[in-house]
Amino acid sequence: MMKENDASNPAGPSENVGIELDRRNFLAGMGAAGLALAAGIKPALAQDMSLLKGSGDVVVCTWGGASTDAMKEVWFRPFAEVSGVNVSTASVPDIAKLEVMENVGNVEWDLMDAEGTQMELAMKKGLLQKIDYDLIFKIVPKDQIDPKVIKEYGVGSVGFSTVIAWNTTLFGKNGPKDWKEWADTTRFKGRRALYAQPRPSFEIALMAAGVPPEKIYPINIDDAFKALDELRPKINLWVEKTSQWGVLMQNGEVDLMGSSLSRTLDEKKRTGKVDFTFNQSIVEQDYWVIPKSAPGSANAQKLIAYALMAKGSLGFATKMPFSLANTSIYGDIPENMKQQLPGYPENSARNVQIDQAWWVANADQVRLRWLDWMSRG
Amino acid sequence: MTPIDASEPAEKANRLLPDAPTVTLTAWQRQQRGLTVSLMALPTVAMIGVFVMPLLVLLWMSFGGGTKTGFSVQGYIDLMQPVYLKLLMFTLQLAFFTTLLCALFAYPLAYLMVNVSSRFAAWMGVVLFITLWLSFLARTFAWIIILQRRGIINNLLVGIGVIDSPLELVYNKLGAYIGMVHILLPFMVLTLIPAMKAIDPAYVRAGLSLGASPARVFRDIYMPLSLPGLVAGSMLVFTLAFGFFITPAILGGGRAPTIVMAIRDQIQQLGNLQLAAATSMVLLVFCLGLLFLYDRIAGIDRIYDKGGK
Repeated sequence: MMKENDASNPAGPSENVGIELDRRNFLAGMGAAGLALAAGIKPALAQDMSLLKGSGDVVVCTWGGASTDAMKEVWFRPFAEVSGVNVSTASVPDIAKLEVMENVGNVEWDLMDAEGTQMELAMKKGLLQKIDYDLIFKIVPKDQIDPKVIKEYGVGSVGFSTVIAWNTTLFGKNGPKDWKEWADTTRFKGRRALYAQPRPSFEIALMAAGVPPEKIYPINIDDAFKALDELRPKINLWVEKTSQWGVLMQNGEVDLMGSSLSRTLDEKKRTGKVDFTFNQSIVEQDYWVIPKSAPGSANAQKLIAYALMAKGSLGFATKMPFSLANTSIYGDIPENMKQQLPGYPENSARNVQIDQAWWVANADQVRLRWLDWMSRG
Repeated sequence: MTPIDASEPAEKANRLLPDAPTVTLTAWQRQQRGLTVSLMALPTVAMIGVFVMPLLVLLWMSFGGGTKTGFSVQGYIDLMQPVYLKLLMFTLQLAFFTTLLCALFAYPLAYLMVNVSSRFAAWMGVVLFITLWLSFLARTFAWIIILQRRGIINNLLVGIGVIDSPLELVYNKLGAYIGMVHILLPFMVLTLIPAMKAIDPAYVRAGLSLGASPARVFRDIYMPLSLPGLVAGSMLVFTLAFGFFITPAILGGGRAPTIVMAIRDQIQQLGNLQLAAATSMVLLVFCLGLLFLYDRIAGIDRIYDKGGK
């Protein structure tokens, strides 16, 4: 799956305008709620915050773009104030690069926002250190964190969604309700686009072939390619970069998409020509991971703990349509934002979570066959 | 360095210079030589540091250098999959036709720029240079705006009734070629210009005054004399096109997968630097082989010729 924010995204300036406006309206009303929230957990908070005190630096490797800007605002700058640690950012997470850094003994990153598959790959190569949950749970109550994203070598940061989206001028409110309908060319006549990547095209092709979400994993690779063969004639173009969705949607180049939630939401707010559903939306979870030889690992552990707190998570959720590890925040989400947050219980119940362990275990085989399959098209 | 006042080492050094007299060097010559050596030092270090070292590191990595598993030829063994050959052949085809198209478009363009009034040529140069300054990605997206179904060209053609439904100009191989030729054209033009400028107009005039037809003058005089630029330009464009990734990936709409995409997967998805290094080495050797072949046909040393002078 491609990242939401390619650092080199040319659609930069116009991006997220809709969300920004919404956020401003929303923040005005949120002040009171935020205060109430802070007041409720204040005793524990005041006591524990001293654990976050530190000195020196922490370098966070992120994906750049709008999501990094949001992270800086809600997590990195406030953390620097609370802890006294200098936070700087670098881009972009790359396990091959991390391995080289580790081998030459000069690791430049202290904390990474790694894709789930990147975490698995780094674990396989022994490049990570364990997450200090003793510290985290002194700062954040354990029951606030989604147990699914608590892993030995990483803890959930944000989750990206790929959703079923459609052109409203053709289909109005009544777009496809699942991938099977999405692939139905008699009911939905239009041009289709998917990511030019096996992940999540495998999942999509299988669901389009009628495989129920809970039966996708472990994927039978032959079945997946059979399903893809069925799907191929219906796909008009394969999308290389997330930044392409904007230009594709704006000009009606395609009518049925498996697109990034944040880009789809941007277009929906900006033009209203696109709508989407959370049904069978595919979520790829990112994790905070700490390189084994990170010089600032102690600070990184503190920053993770800080970022998992409800307050910052709520702040992030109001800026970017990503799911968050702290699931306690959704009670405080205003009504109009519930429709756009993949982590909101009603939406997340309809998600399909990418099985990153399966993908890493089968990467060699799948990647080769995928390239072979693509080059036949 | 040993002191150079002893005559023996000086004579030894002299044997390395073919035309140098075998007599003992004068103080002046010694100084000249010292100057040459010291002037060469920096470029030599730069050549080694910037070009030779990374290549050696890549070679070392392709045999498993720097990995925990130690030295092996596993990277090269893993490469023996038909899909790599298929991707390589497609990439080769893409690079070859891109180079050919660039040559076809660049030649008349460069000729015009060399032979029209200098003010007009300067303007053309500015336009050409400006495209070089813009980012690949921005230009790639600009082509989408122009070529897509409701893009500028299709809207125009449908609007004036030439066609009924929009043409598929992008998200296929055609789109990939358009984007690549556009991005690489300036490189071809800029290498052709100096070669054409160096052609003495007297040769052309002489040919014409001796009764040759303009076509014959072009074929037998102008074209061969401009060949060094064409050779250099096509080498440059071919090599660049061979390593192209993002433009064919976006404008090709998933229908122009190149070998670079395999290398990207090897690094980002598999974290297998040894395999990526091995693939890169094979590509390098392959490219060198092609250049060798090209040298036999076209003569790369022509690049250093100065248009018939």
